[in-house]
Amino acid sequence: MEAIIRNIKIARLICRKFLLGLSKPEEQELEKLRKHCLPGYSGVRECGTADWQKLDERYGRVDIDGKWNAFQNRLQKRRKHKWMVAIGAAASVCLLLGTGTIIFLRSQPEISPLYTSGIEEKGVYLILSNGEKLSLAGDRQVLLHKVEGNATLHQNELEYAKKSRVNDDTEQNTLVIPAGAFYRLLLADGTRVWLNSETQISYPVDFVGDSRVVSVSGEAYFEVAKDSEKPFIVKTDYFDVKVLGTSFNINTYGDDGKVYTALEEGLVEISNGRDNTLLLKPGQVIELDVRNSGSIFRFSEISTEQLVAWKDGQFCFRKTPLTEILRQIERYYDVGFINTSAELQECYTGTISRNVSLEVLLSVLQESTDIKFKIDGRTVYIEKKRD
Amino acid sequence: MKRLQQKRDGNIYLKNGESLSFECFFRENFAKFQAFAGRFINDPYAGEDIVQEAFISVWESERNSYDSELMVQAFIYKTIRNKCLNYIKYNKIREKYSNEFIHGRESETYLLHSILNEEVQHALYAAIKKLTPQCQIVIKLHLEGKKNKDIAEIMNISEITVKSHKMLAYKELRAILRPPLSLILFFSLKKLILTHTIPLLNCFHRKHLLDGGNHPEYKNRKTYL
Repeated sequence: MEAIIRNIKIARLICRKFLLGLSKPEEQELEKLRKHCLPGYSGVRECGTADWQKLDERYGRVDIDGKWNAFQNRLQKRRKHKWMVAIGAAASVCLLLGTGTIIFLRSQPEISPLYTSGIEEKGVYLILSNGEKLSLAGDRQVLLHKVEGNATLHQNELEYAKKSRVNDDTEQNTLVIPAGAFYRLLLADGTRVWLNSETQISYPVDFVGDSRVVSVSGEAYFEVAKDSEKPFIVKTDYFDVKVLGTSFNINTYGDDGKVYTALEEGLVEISNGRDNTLLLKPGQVIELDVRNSGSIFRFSEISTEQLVAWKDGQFCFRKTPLTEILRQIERYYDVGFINTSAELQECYTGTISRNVSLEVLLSVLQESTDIKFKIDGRTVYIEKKRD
Repeated sequence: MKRLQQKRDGNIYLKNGESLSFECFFRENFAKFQAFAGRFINDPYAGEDIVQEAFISVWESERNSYDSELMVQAFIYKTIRNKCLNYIKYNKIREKYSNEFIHGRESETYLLHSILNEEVQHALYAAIKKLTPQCQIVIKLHLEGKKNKDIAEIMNISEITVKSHKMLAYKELRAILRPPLSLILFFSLKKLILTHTIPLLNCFHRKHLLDGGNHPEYKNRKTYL
């Protein structure tokens, strides 16, 4: 703690020195503090020029009213939560006393597939424009009341319709899909989006203005509704995709440092904001190496069917290395693999339905490879099969 | 000094007699802490979440047990850093962060350097933001290296006016950047009272600016707001 406080004091003195200059005693104070401090510290040289643009970008873009409201909401919820825990505890005690029996919990629930007709809202939540988080697995009445825009909630899909009144500003929401989940979104313009696990998408509840812009991180498949007046633009951390009415897949997981865009139908233009633009035709897949800031788009060896299979409930591997196969399994079933002795360099080709339990899937893999799997809760151990 | 009981109003009571309005403190520092969290984890939503939780910890803590405002700051920095490290180490996200990344961010040096950098940058930003609009523009141009003559041209005012704006700006800055506590010994008692009350006033002053003014923009020039 002391060191932290010392550094904060130094920082404030530096700022003062930069803007106003320091008096003799202040200089001495700074020297004294610095002596205690980090070696190799450069001090005032660090803020030789105060770049206002950068500072404003760093601190000026925060909606502080929104954050304060969100904070107060959090406090409210905490109080409610404490209440409910107290009530819950009281209720369960009563139950136990009442029935006088002991209930055995089911041991080891089977890790079931998610894809049974695409239903699984586990853990999916929505972040509203005021920063409030809304779990989509919660009470339906509460949800419909709080959700913004003209939205309808189906079993595994969130659907938006055009608002009857046209507003100038429209709320930006973010849908968060954690590992082990899968969801669909129907945007206000009719665009269909399939969202894979570990994905986030930020979108306005209605499209106003002269373009349609959403932001994605993770993996999503788009079927964009035609609107020649308003181009559809998908922004990601690595590249932007401008859509000219069409169906395509975006993958920004960054596995092995690569991100992909695959086009099934139509035409898209992909750019990474650095004069690197490319027009994609159906059947083409573009990859970008994100570990390398100077990298440019390249046509990928991976086929569109491999990248898009998840949307139709399949795993599709074409000479895919085992490491990648296991990574996809981890994401879909929300488990973790721990390798004890096997080598995972081998490549495999095959298509497997996602609508099977983890045990079945792993037994199939076990048959075809020389690897043994052992499931323990949410962890799976990998071992080389002994001959 | 009277011993204050645990109050549940919106304030933090410091051992040196000062009190901080929690809301003011939150509004002043949230952006800074969010930027700080960004030095540890990449996900901005998780980062914001962590900063909110850190503020909640302060709110729920013994709010009259902090020695100074610096202690509150230090507490929050530490809390955010620990939560961030937990996030990257134990979350499912772990596979995305390499071991070097994690080790780098675990070190004490990284923590102190980050705090130092963040504090300097934010102190500059916050101080300048608190100036009245004309003074703000003059100072921003001055920091860009522009001479009085150029500033006068850009703002379409006389050099004398530029100089008086600068004088005013420095006066305001001296009030905004109150000296660290240890230096108070060098100042008179009168100044002591002044330096304690002005920070609170600054908070309200800023709030007023947020509610009120229409800042005149200089047409056909770059806007600095």
